[in-house]
This record gives sequence, structure tokens and C-alpha cells, in this order.
Amino acid sequence: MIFTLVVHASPVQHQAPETALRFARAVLEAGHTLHRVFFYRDGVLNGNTLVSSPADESNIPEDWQALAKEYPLDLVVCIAAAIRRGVLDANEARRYDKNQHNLAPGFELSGLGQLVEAAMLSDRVITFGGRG
Amino acid sequence: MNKRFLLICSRPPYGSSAARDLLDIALTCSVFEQSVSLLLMGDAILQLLPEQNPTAIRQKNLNAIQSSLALYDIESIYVDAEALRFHGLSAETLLLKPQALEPDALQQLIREQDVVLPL
Amino acid sequence: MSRSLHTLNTPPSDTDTLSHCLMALSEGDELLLIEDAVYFTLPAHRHKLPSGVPIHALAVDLQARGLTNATDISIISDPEFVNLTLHCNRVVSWF
Repeated sequence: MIFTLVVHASPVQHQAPETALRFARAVLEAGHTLHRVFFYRDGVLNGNTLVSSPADESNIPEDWQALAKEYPLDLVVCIAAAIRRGVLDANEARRYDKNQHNLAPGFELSGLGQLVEAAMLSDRVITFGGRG
Repeated sequence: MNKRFLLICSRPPYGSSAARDLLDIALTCSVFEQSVSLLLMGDAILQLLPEQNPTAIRQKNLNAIQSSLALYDIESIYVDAEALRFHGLSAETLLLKPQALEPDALQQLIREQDVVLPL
Repeated sequence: MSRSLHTLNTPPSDTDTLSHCLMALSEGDELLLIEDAVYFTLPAHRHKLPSGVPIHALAVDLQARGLTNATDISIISDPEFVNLTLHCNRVVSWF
């Protein structure tokens, strides 16, 4: 079966991205296809490579990257939501005249079309959200 | 490939970005020629109040985006009937002429969907 | 038979999200409590959940919150969460 996950919540402020990560791992370990994980709203902060955690705490953005090293994963961050929250890749940094960029390796910025396209191609679409 | 998408929202406009973020998904579904319905529950029915003017709070007027929905063939707009009663509103006074659903009809609507995207 | 899996992640004090979820639950659907919604397994709240549909709760979330006495409920693992989504036609998340 083909799955797409949608993550709406901040990795620091809400548990939802951690639940999504565990679900993603369970999908992959069961041999199913994870077509895409789409990050929207505050979920785009999952793609911020500058998120830093004390040594004894989890770091969800790093955990996504680790999962993407184990399995081929399409981690797509909504570009419109991301630039508003200061999550930029090199191209967007140039476009908005910023001298830094911080999109984590393994993630890519793209439009909401990637969410709709993924939903069209997937058997199950599951949203992991938080209030806000 | 055409799928039936239902977008569900329960947040009022302006206090958060939920209403606008929902409309962005709706318009994108339409660009991909998918069937899309909007279900506004609870406080989200307040998104459809007319005469909004958020200029002074420096936000875009939702009414303007809402009035373009028909151009995108998004005409299936539903509200939960209980929320209308809670807020003392009637569907006829709201923009986009939403259809009010009691729980039975709301459950039927969900059963007809391929993809449900809550926000 | 078209069946939905509803997930709920809000605590019992969030009565609005619960009421939207309950309003949308059809006969034959299933309900999965995750994150803060596992507090619905406390005796004071258990009656707020519907009796006609199967109710599950994620084991890790119960365990994390010290809820070791949940009875009358199916306690499931992450792989079982995945299977539950396959057993239903769509997933509706309430948060």
C-alpha cells in the first residue's frame, strides 16, 4: 500500500511530528511504500537544519534526516509556508535577498501541488496536526 | 485521476492562518482537477460572515478569496448545523450559500470521500 | 462498507474537538486515541466516548502519561496503527 503523511505541527512545540516519525518508520518496516511526507504550516520547521537540542533530548529534524538515510524518502516542505517561517534553501535565500539558508539536507521546498499530487497517488493520507 | 477531497476546518478566520491555509489547499486541489468539498465546523463557519475588512490588522480579506472559489469550480461548501445554532447564524446569511449538515448528512459526506484533509 | 478511522489527539478538556469528532463518527467507524487524547481512558472521561464503535489507544502514549490501568479499550502498537489505517478506507484526524 502507498502512504502519504502530512505534518502540520512544530517539532519542538507539539508531539505530532514525533508520532508521524514513528508511524513513518512502522509503514516502512512493514514493507509499504511511503510516497511522500509533506510538511505544512508550522510543520515546515521540521526541515530547519538549525534546530538544536541539548544532548539528552531528541532532535526531530535530525531524526527525519536519519530515516531518509535508511530509506529513500521524499520529504517535501511547503515553500510558501516555509519562507514565511524563515526556512529557506539557497535559491529562496537568493530570491529574498537573505544571506543565510537553513533547509536541512534530505528535505526539499516545493508547492502545495506536491501534497495534492501525493494524495492522488496514495492509498492512504494521514495528517498529523496540532492545534493552532 | 480524479479523487474526492474533503477539507475540514474548525478555526475562525484572522486569529490564526488556518482559514487562509485551508483555501490554499482547496485552490490547489482545483488546479489538479480534483473534486473538492469544504466542510466548516464549529468556529470555522465564522469564515463565511460577510463584510469582513481586515485592512487595519494588515491581513488579506478572506471574502475576496472566497468569492473566487466558484471560478475554480469549488461549489460544495458545507457547514455544521450545530455550529450555526451555537453562533445564532443561519446559512442564508453566510457567503457562498453553504449547505447546513446535521450529523447524519455530515457522516454521509465523509463516507463519500477518498481523501480527508483536516486543518 | 466504507469505514473511516478517526484519530483524536486532544485532551478531554477540549470539548469542541471531541464533539466534532463524535459528530463525524459513523456506525462501523473506528476511533484511535493518540497523544493527549489517551487521557480519555481515565474513568472520569471514559463515558464521553461512544459505545458503538471500536476504540483504540496508542500504547506508547498511555505509557508515557502513566495511564497503566486503561481497560475496556484496545491498546495498540505503532505497527497496529498502520494496520488499522489499512483496515479502514480513509483516515480523518481531529486535532
